Amino acid sequence: MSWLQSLYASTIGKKAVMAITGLIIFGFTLGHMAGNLLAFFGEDTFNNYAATLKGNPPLLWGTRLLLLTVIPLHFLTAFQLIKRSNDARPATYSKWQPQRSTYASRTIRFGGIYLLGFILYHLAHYTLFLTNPEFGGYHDAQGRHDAFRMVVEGFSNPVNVAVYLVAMLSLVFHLSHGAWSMFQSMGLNHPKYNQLRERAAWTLAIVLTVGFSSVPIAVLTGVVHR
Amino acid sequence: MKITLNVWRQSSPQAAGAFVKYDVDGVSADMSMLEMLDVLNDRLESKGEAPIAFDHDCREGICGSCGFMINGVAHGPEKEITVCQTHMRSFKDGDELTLEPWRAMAFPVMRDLMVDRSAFDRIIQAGGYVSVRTGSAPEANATPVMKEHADMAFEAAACIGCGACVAACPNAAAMLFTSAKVSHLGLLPQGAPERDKRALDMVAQMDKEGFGHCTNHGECEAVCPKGISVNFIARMNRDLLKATLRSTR
Repeated sequence: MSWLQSLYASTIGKKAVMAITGLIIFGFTLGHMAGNLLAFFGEDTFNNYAATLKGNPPLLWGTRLLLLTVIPLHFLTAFQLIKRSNDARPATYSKWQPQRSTYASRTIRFGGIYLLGFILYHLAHYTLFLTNPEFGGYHDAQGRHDAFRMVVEGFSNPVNVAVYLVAMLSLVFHLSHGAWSMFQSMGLNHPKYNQLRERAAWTLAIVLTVGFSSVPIAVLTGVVHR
Repeated sequence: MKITLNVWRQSSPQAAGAFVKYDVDGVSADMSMLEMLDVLNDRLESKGEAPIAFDHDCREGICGSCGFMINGVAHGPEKEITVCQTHMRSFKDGDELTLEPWRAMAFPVMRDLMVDRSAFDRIIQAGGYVSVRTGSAPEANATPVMKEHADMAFEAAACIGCGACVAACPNAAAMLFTSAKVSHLGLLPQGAPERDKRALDMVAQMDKEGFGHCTNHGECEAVCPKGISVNFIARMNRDLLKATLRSTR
């Protein structure tokens, strides 16, 4: 076995993979959220942003290829670790009282599974237009893809908004544990900065969730409209 | 006082176990948990029943032999203490207590509340040693040790290997135990020559034994009778990742 294979085979190596892939996905979601907020600046700004991204194939495909590598790796490694954890305790306790673990830490895997389903739905919804084939045909006055109209129509459906908001709620719990846990997994621990790690994780998780949730809520309440 | 116990009874590693209920009268608040079981065992034996098997040795909270779950908490409700030092004054008259063995694939139940923890011994054998110069005793102050490192190594060395960390971990991980052992030698100059090899070998053995991974819940730290910190787990992660990158293996 090569050193890289034996590292991946070890429990600590797998957690390092979770941390690094998690950090990349986290970085992407921050950028994604910032882009989404441009919807508040109106149709022209938003469509211009979308056209700029589409008009830069190295950036677009570089990001897509990176995500197509790290997201499946994050989930694959998580499933392998969950299996390992289940195998490590075949007989469960009749009674078990949590002492230190949090709701976020205990539900991180379930939130992750919901987010996996959500990512697939989100791609089918706004990227591949599988759920709404008409989205692909929307163009604005300048002939650009009318991403703004797509977003407004998509979030006019309360069921859709609910699916997105539940995903964002899962995200806040997932990240509030995951975003500090990754430091621990990579061995980055220091008494001076440990408290900062946890506070930063919660802050960024809330910023992301509020930022992401603001657009569907703004559309549904009519704040953002065509 | 009167205590009702639900005790896991299992006659052998292969046998199926089950909970059996015992009413124990005349329990003194000054008895330790194990002394209360001794009293119950005397009564069981006088009735011709098999006594409840449990591990114990020093009964002073320092040897690491004893340990089981009391109402779903490893070593019971008191902090930084083993079951032998948990006294019945921690409970009240009429309480019902569920006593269950440590549960992990790597800790097979031998009988009742006793589990086989030799997996820990094999982790120690894989790397819990240092090279020493044989011959005449060296000058005691020849090797300077930073005070902070000496203190941290001492904190890690306080681990008694009881297995409560594995028992409490939702993933049945032995990360706290292994990290304490990796760190207490790795922090000192005497353990420096084998630092990389130790991390690689002890983690490999820990994985081989079938323990789980760390999800940073902190349950292990909360039940550790010696209060060993999860900071040591991060230190072991760092040691393992560094060792993987720079070793020639």
